[in-house]
Amino acid sequence: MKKLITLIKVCLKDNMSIFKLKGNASKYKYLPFILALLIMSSFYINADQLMSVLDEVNLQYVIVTMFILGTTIMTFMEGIYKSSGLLFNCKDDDLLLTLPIKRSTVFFIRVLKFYVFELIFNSLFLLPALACYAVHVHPEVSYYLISVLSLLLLPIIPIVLSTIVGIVIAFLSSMFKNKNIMQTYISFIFIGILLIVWSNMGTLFDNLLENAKSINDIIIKVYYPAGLYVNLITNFKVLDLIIFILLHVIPFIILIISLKNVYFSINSKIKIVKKIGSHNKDTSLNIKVTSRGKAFIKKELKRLVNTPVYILNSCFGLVIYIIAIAMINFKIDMFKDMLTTQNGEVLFDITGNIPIVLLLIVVATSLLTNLTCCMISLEGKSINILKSLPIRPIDIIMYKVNTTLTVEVPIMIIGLIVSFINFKINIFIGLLLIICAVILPLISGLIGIIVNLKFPKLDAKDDTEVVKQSMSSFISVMVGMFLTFVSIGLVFKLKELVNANLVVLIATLIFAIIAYLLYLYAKVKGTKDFEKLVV
Amino acid sequence: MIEIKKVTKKYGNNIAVNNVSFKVGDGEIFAFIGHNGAGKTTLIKCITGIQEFDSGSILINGKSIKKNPVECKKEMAFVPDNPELYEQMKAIDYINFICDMYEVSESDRTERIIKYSKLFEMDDKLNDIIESYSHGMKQKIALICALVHEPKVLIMDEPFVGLDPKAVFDVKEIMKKLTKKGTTIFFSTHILEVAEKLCSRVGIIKKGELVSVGTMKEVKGDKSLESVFLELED
Repeated sequence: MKKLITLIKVCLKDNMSIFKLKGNASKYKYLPFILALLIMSSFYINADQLMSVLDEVNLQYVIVTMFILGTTIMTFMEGIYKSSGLLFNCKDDDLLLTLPIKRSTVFFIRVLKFYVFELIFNSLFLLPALACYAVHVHPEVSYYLISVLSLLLLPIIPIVLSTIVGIVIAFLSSMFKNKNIMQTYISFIFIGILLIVWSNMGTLFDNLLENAKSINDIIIKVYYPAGLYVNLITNFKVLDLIIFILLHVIPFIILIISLKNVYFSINSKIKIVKKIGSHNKDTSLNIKVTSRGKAFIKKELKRLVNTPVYILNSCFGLVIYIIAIAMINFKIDMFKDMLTTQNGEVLFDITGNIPIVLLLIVVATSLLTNLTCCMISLEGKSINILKSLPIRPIDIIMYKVNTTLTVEVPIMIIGLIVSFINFKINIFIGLLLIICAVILPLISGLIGIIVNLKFPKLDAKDDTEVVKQSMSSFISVMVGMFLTFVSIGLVFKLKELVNANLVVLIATLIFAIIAYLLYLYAKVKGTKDFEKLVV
Repeated sequence: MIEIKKVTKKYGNNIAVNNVSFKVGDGEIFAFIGHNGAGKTTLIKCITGIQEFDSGSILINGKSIKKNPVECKKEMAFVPDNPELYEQMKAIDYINFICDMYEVSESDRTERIIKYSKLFEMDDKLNDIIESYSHGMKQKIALICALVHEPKVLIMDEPFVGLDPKAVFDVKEIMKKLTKKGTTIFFSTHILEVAEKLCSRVGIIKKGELVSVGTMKEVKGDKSLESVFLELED
């Protein structure tokens, strides 16, 4: 037991390393807490606005259940591509496996690490909703106790499910030679299947709504633990509490006991495949001269496709872009219906504002796609190789940004050209939108690399830690979201003043100025931050 | 040539390298020895431009690493103590990448890659992913990359760690050949016998300060390098 407690302590300390900023970055040590408070405050404000409506019908608990459902889905979706990276082929495998501890303990520690991170993540969303409920309802002390317990228990079920999916993905990919690339494909397939299932659940929800006796009845049918939680805070019964605890704890125990052997067999299989599968009998040497920039981008792309968690996490915005462009081009009537009220009032004329709609799609998806925010951290100790090369730091920075452009810009331009043909957009506006499709990924890339240079994590144990658990990723996502909201607000404000074509022109000019200023910042400050990087 | 003048590097209040000065001439092999944590790697990182230093100057063939880092790095190669290479790449792709960065012509790189990969018995393994290599094999790839662009200054941090005896012998022979061409070689090591037999000059660092520097004869006199080193460290 003492050993387990020591291991848990080490594990928790390790998880908290996201908040430990070293060297130059330590002067921003309060930034994560300020950002966390900002996010929680914005969720609280949203919850409070909804709560004022629900106060009238005395259904305040709906807010809490909405947040529980939302975080559960997010944890599960995120866990699918995070779990295999977090659980398998960890750098401390050899250390832990040589210690005199049970295999189930090692597996438990792996899952616990996953759990602790999700607990922090879930708390950011759930705490504001729980606090909002407390402010509006003034519940008894039991509410607080149940809520604290729920906060601790609720991440378990999505984690157990995504761990199982992660094990399946790792098992399937371990059978292939290029394990990492296959892991990326299989994860995309799993997420694709989930999206298809999700999009076909409309009729299921309709049936649920038709047959439900009350809102809580619907919640229980959609996600039983959430309904049980509502029962506990509205009509407390000891039996419900016991069921609630067991419902979460038992799957966790079953997971640890039943899958520990499977886990270790797959983990060792992955390593064997890595050694044997990668041996190439071909001795002919492919020696060719490439320009520095091209060689650098090739190296970065190789890293990207070989790191499933990196590609899945960073390119999510691009997937949304493809879906959005496809919907706009082939399912525009659906949007028209959504933007028309029951009285026939058109909230936004989508067909009359296609250039603005395309601009907004490019803005949102570019700013939410960030490949560069982990590029420096992913170098790890090999950053010394880069620093010893005879290349100026600003060139290295721009080669990394250009990798983002290589991935994003062609997809963006193809999507836009399809839309131009479909909606007969005039050449001048088309050209401006194409310029935006280059400038916006450039802005996103520069923000990512600037933030990563400020908050590098060169001593990470694995890629997942860099991609999902680093301050740089967290801040870049927050800045991207913030800029998206500001840009969308700006575009709509401009729309009130000038016509759609002029909106695109003004927005393009503003984005070009921002990109240039960011480049200047990267050249001066980014270079200095690069020179300060130490492993 | 490497000229180190009054270099000081601090980590907060901790002085890692304190006012160190010495020169390593053309065609010279210089061994840099000291205990773990004495400041060897820190100074090496300063020389190679990987790490900034607080005061003093470092000149590579007369050019300042602070003022002209790119020019200095063009003439220099660095072999780190722990070869952290790009693991997902094939070794040949990685070597090609390094050649592209140093702008080595196709004919030169072809000739040198074949020469050094055969010498280190890696010629039939260059199409493998680096991730599948042992520590020693990675070290050999790091050495090939350092040699492939024919640097005028070669800096190595513990270059013999993890190498098999034949590779150690080959590296020593290469070092001797390179010095005949005028290459400056600076390396840190814990293997005092190698330093004693191979180097023309030696420097001993203790707690960030250079406690002894000179030709092998000046430093050790009639004693062994090991006994001098232990005496200085006590």
